[in-house]
Amino acid sequence: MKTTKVQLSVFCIFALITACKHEEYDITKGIDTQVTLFGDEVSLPIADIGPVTPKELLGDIDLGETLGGMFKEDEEGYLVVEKEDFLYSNPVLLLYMGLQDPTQPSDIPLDDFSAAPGESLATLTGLGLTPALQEFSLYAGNPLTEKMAVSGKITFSEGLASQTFSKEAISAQADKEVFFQTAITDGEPLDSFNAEQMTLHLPANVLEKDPLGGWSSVSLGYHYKAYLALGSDFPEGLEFPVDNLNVPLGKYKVKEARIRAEVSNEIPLTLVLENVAVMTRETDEEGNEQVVVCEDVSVTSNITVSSGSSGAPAVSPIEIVIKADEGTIPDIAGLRLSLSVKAPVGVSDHRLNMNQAVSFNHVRATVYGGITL
Amino acid sequence: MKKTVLFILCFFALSSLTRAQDFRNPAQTAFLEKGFVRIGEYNSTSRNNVGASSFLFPSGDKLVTGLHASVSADAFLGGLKTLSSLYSQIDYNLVSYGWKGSRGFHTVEIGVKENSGLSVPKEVFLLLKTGTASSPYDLSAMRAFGNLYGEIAYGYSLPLSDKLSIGGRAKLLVGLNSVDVLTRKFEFSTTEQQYVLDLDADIDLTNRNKKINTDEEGYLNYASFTGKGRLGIPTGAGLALDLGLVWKPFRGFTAEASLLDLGGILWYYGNGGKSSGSYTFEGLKDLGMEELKEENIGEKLRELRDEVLGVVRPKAVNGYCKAKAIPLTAKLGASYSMPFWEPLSVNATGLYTGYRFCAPYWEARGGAEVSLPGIASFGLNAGCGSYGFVWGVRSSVNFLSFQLYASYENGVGGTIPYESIPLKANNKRLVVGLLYLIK
Repeated sequence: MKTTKVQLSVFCIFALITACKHEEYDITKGIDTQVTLFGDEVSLPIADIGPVTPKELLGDIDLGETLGGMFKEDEEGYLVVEKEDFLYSNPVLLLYMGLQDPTQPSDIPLDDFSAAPGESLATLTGLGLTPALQEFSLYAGNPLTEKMAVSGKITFSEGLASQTFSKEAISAQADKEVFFQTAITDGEPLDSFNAEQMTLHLPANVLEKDPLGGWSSVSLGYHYKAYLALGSDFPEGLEFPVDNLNVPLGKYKVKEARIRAEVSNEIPLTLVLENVAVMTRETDEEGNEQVVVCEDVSVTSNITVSSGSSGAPAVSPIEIVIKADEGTIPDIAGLRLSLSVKAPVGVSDHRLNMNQAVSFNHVRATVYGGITL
Repeated sequence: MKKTVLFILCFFALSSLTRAQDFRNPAQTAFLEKGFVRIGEYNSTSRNNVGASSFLFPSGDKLVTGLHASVSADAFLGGLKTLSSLYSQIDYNLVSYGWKGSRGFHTVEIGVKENSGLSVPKEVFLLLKTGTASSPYDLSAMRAFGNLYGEIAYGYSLPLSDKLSIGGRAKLLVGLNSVDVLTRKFEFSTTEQQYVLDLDADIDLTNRNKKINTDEEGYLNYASFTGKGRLGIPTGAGLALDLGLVWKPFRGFTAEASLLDLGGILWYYGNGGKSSGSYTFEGLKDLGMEELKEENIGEKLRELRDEVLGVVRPKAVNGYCKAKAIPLTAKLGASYSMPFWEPLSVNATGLYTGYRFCAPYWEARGGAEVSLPGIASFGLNAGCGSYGFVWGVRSSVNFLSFQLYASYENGVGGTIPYESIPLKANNKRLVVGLLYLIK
C-alpha cells in the first residue's frame, strides 16, 4: 500500500510537470496586436521652416490691387503710396520771347503751385496703416546746354514746417534732377503742399542753348513716396480660420503634444496668438457631417511673436501645447486662430515690405503618453 | 512486483523515458568489450534566458504584448534581461562506428550540426516602451547568427589501468553555411534638438550557394543573386577536439570529466557586408514655400530615408576569412552504484557551455538511475542552472542487439498551450538515438 502511494505520487508529479499548460497564455484565443510606443514621451526635431515672405504666401496676388489700388509694392518690396506729377512745363521759345534782354541771365517768376499727394493716406489710416516714412522731392528738367537754377518756398499741410530753397542749380540737359527733398518721419501725413515764390534763373542766350532751337521744354515736378507701416489703431482682434487641415491624430491616441520653435520675424508687427480652437468633424443624428469646435482639446494661448525689421529680425521662442482634457486628441479638421496684431514701438524701421521674412527655426515636438498603432 | 513493473512501464509510456547512451566523453568507450554502430542520433537543444511570458501578458480573455498600453513599463521591462537571447542547436549524428582495438577503442563518426541564435539588448525595448526620455541608448551587442557544418571525427580511448581511462576525439569540421550579423557599436541619441545614430555592424555571410550582387553604389542587393541554388562547395574548415577522462577508484564509483568542442571553424565570407557611419538629424532643413508642398515634402522625406539607409545598409566588402569558435562544453560527473543493489545508482553532473555570442549556460544536477543490463534503464535527475530549476528523464530499451535510447531535459514554468513555447527562461534538450551493439 505504501509502495503504491509513493508510485502514484511520483507519477502525478511528473504528469503535472509535463502537462503544465497555463491556459491563460492560450494564443488560440487571439493576441491583441495594438501597441503603444514611447509610452512616457518621444521627442524629435522636425524642421527649419522658412524663410517665408508675404510675397511668397500671396504668390501672384497683388495686395495693393486687391485693396483697390490704394498702395503698391515698390521695386524693393516696400508697401508705398507713390505720386508724381508736373507742376510747370514751358517751351524755351516762349520763355525767350518773354525776356527783356535775352543776352543776359534772367530770373523768371512762376505762379504758385499746389497739390495733394497724400490725400489717399486718410483712407489707409482708417485701415490701420500709417506712413512710417514720407519722402518729398522737387525736380526739374533742363534741356539747355548750360545749367540753370530754381528758387522758392514749400509750404506743407498743417503740422509740417515750410522750407525754402535758393538758386538750386539744375545741371545742363538734366532730365529729372532733384533740387529739393525732405523726409518726414514723425508719422504726420503730408496731405498737401504749396510751392510759392518760385523763380527760374536762366542763363544768357537761352535760345542758342536749346539743342532743339527753342522747342524743348523746361519743367518742374514733384515726387512723393510714403512707406506704410502698421498703425497704432490697427484692428487688434483678428479671427483667422485654417480649414481643410485633415490631421489624422485620432487613430494614434495621442494625449498631449508640445511643439516648440524659435520664430525669427522681420515683419514689423507684434503678433499674439490669443486663442486656438480645434475643429473636428462630427456627424449629427441625421447623418450630416459638420465641422464643430472640439471642447475636449485645449491649446496653449497667449503666444507672442515680437516685431522685427528688414535685416534685423526679432527671435521669439514659442511653445504650443495641445492637450486632450478627456480621452485623446481626435482628428483635426481645422483651426480657428484668434490673433492680435499690434504695431511696433521704438525707433527701428517700421516699414512694411513684402520681402520681409518669417522663419520657424528648430521646430521640434514632444509627444506625451505614447503613440498607439 | 507486478505493480513495480507496471510502474516502470508507465514512466516509459508517458514521458518517453529512454536513456541516452552518453559516449560524448571520449574516454567512456575505453572499457567497452564489443563494438557498436550508432545508426543515428538526434540531439536538439534550445535555450532562452527570457520566455514568452516576458513578451505576452494575459488581459481579459486574450493576450496582449508588452508594448500594449495596459502593461506597465516596470512589468514589461522587469521581465527582460540586459541581453535577451535565444539559442538553438541541432546535432544529427548520421552514423558512428566503434570497434575494439588491440589496446584501446576506436570510433569514427559522421554528423551534421546546426546552431542559431538571437540576442537583443534590453534598451531596444526600453526605447520602444518608454520613449526617448532615457537617451542616449546603447543598442550594441545585437546579434543574429546561424551556422551549419559537418563533422567527421576519429576518436580513440585508452584504459591506462582498470580504474582510469583517457580518450580523445579529433574532429574535422566542414563549414557549409554561416551567417552572422553583429552590431559592434550601435549608439542612438534622441533629444528634441537632434537624433544621432552611430553604427558599426558586420554582416558575415557565406556564398556557398549564391553570390549576392551589389548595386551601383556598392550596397548589397539582397534581391539579386548569381549562381544556381545547388549544393555548393564548403565555405569553411576547422578542427575541434574532445578530451575526456574516466576514473573508477573503487567498485561502484565512477568519476568523469570532459572538455568538448575545443576548436573552431575558419569561414570564408564571400557575401560579407559592413554598415558603418554616423548620421545626425536636426530636422528637415530649408523648408520654403516650394518645399512645403506635399510632393516636395515627400521628396525631402525620401532623401532623409536614403541618407539614413546610407549608414544602415551594408556595403559589400571583398571576401574574407574569419575564424569563429564553436560552443565549448565542460562537464564533470560522478555516479555511485548502491552496494545493496547494483542496478540502482545515484549520480551528479555539472555542465558549463561557453559561447562568444550568447549568454553562457551552466547547470548542476543530481539523480538516480536503474539499469537492468540487456533489458532497459531509466533515470531521473533534477537540479538547478542558469535559468533555475531543471529536471530530466532518461531511458533506454534493448531489443535483440538494438538499443533505443532517449533523454529529455527541461525546466519549469510551463509552456504556451499547444505550442510548447516556454513561458520562462528555459533550457530544453531532447536526445533520441539508435545503437546496434556488435556481439
